[in-house]
Amino acid sequence: MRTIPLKVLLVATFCLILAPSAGASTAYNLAAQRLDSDSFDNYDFVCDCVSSYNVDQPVTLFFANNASKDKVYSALYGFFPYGGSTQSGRLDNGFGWFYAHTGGKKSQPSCNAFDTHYRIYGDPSHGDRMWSPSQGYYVIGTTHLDYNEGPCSGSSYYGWNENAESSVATNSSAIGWSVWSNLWGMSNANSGRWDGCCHYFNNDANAAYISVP
Amino acid sequence: MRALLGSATYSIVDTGIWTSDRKQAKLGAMVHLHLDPPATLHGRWPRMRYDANEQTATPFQDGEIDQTVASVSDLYLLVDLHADHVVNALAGPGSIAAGSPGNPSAPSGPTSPAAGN
Repeated sequence: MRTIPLKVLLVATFCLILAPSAGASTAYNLAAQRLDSDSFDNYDFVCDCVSSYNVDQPVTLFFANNASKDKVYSALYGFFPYGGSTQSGRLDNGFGWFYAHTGGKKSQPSCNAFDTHYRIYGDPSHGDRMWSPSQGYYVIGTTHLDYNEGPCSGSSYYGWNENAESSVATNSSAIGWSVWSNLWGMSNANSGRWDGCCHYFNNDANAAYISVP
Repeated sequence: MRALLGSATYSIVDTGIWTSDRKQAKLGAMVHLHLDPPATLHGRWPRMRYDANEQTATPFQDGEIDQTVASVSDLYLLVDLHADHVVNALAGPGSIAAGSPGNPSAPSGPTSPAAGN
């Protein structure tokens, strides 16, 4: 039997670890954000694989006070009733880092049209929410628009994160929640950057802050 | 692009780098145009074919589609700087392509998985 030298195996393994995952994009400013004794990354990921080369979308939403993932999804269901593909958020509740998973919620996907898609992340072992002394029960979220989704001809596109953030914020305000647009600094600004065929990153570094009653 | 833009009045609001997904290799430039007033654009839209595996240094090929898009206020162009031409043009949010339902703001219906990102 032909053997593979250990050096080759090590190099191959190293390359595999560094190789971007399918569908992933690159972030130039991935960084953990500190909140009291908690932390969370300012992007979500296409797998449980924290890396600047494996990001999906920037964090652009912060729901505070009495939020949970299901509570937000339920309250905004009338605007965003559809599901999407599962991605991973990475958070630390003060006892260590973990991944949370969700497909998020979106408006109706259509060919040759845009829909809004957002994903909410909390601690899955504590009711899909986080808690901090200063913010109460909180969750974070990413936002983007999708274009030409479903069984459509031609490419699908995604991004326009700031537009999608505004859409979620506007609809949160419409159901009576208090919204402060572009309030919470996330250090994840992307100014007009196009990745590959289809990903248009565009967001300021400030997430919408939404107080959930 | 001139034929597609016709008499539309536009300004450049943003430019940025266009890179490959995997290696972050420079492919060209992204140009964001703002049309004021919004216009209906009809004709041949540059719409590249992109190799998702990015096996070559230039993982895209020229392509075109026939399309009419109304209420175009933002236009996103990808420019191949080596060939000095636009390889992709996409109308931004708020535009309505012929044959599409537009941008539903308050959809209803059952939860269902979607294929996209």
